[in-house]
Amino acid sequence: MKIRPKMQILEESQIKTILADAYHILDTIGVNIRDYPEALDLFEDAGASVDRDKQLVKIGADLIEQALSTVPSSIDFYDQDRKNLLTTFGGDSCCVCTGGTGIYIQDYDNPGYRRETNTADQIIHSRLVEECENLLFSAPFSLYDVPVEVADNYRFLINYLYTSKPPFASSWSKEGFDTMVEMMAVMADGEENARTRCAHVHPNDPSSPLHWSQVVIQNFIDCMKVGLPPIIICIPIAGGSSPCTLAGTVVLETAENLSGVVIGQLAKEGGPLIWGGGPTALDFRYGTAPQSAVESLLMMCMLAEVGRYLKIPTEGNIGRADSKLADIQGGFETSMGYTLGALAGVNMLRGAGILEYASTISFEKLLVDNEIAGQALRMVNDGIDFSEATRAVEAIREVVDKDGNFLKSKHTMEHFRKEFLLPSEIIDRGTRTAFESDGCKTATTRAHERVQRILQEKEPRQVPTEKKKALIDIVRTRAKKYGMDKLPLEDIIC
Amino acid sequence: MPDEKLIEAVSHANDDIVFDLVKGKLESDADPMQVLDDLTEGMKLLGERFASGKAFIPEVVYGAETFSKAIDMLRPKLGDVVDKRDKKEKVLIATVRGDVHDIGKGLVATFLDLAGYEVVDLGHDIPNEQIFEAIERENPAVVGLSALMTTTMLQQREFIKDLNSKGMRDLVKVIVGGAPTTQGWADQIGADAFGADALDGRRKIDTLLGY
Repeated sequence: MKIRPKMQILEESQIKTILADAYHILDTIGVNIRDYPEALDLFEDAGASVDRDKQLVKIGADLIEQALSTVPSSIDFYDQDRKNLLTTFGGDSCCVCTGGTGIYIQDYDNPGYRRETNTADQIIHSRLVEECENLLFSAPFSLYDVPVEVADNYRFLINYLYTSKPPFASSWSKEGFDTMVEMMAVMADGEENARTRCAHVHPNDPSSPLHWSQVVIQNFIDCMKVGLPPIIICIPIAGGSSPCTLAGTVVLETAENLSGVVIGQLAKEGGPLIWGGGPTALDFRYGTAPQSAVESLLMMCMLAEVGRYLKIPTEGNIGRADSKLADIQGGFETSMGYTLGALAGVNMLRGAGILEYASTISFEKLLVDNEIAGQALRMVNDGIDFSEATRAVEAIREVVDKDGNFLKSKHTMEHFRKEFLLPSEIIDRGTRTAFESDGCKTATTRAHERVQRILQEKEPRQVPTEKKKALIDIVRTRAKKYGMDKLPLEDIIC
Repeated sequence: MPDEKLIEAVSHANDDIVFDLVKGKLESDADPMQVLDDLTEGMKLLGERFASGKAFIPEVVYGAETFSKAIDMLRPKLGDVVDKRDKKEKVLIATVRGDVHDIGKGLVATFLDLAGYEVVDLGHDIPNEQIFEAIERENPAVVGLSALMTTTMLQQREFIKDLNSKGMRDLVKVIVGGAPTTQGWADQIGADAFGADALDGRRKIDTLLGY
């Protein structure tokens, strides 16, 4: 028997109260859906109250209950080539995704310097993610060396070429979405594979309070239609775009997520989707929206508990550090987030390698976070083996009878590799002598050296030439429309 | 004589006391110019309390709202004098079409207000055409455009393009900001400045206007 360590903030009666409040909000206040009549049509056809002038939809309990009854409770995810099953997402499982959404790279040698992200950064990042055994999903970031109109497809392309891990990436327009679907068919060796074997999640962010903007709702519905699991990730700022009370923000975001569940199931009954979230607590001194404030973490855990109660796979923007650097603050922020998120049952912890309110990428932090992820996953996925053998009464008798120790025991030989996670050299558990003889390095320095080693010693992933060419052609064709005849990537790999 | 109670109430965003005091003064024929001075002094103190870490953003925002409502109470007696008090240039501010995010833009507006600018906040999800109409109507020195989404930042570029094609580029300075935007983006689209955060936005506007 395996014990899965768990934490439960909300009692069942409190979850039911949150849901009752959220139902009431959707029924009496409603949700605003901007500039996308097709979504209003879906609601109207299903019998919801739709005010087309105000673009406001009021959703009754019956529609919500119906939608909840058809959402799948788990999703199988494959690598990008659709060959290997990576995880069955949902239930008690937990995995970690990189932070994504970055727009800057933090320079390791110069703490005061960050610059806009470019092609070379994404290549390095994807190569590093490929080597991070505890990171399952890869979120490529925004790139500023191509026209912004095609940056969504372009980052998707680089991510695919340099890591087999499924991307966590959105499209920024209808054209971008359709191009991405075309690319997925190439990656998956055909549309059928792309549609039936999930190897991509697509974040869709409604805006608090209770708004779906045009591109977001359109992409969300299109995701459902093509079988690409969308994640509903509202990022309310408690005290700004949502109530400053933790319970109030969780109630609001529950309502927002439920509106997404209903829209999703109306678009495709039985289609997979993910109950995500990223509540933040406004810092009333600076006007920033820290994601690692303890209030943000508590709200995220409560929201995930509601999703878990509804038996919908969950994602959480949790463990995303707000520190400007990969320093002690960044380390404790991610550790606290992953620990609480994993214990609360969040299925996907999103946030490795990102700093400063999800704006700045750090390669060193990425590798440190891979270690933190390893500890968190060890805690909940491997859990505690609880059996007669592991309770070890006979082994204790044997050692005591012989006046020996457990280091020499067969029981240790049989169990130690399974029981203990041995982290990489980034986590220093060595002797003082070794620490001093190695130059008294910090974890960040050790992570930086590992970055260099991976880039020097590990061969990049090789995608078949024809597939690579087809994908580059697709993105180049789109880039040409916006004045770029050759992708920056082509100068690097060709 | 300044009313210390009123100044204190404004500086602590205590709306009920502010409204009661202003109402009482108007009914007792107190000098409305003195009331205006007290309200203004209270706001100045609130700004100082914020700068020194004694007051926080909700108090500043709520205090600015309270101040604005108290000014409205004075309007029947003072007319447009209330709008002409020692104000700096006018700044027009909006979140672009397709984007409903209001918080950052609202903070910029509040900080500008505290710094003495005349702020016209058009709101969120504002089409460029509506901004052009407002430019013609309000004649601002600066237009600030916020975009919080990668899907909507392109509206900032469209705005500057249209500003050029309408021959209006010299009429206003343009500052952009919002989560996905950077200095590089501002340079690329021809904006005059980039605000990395709300306070930075106010500072950049100060610089644009020579303060």
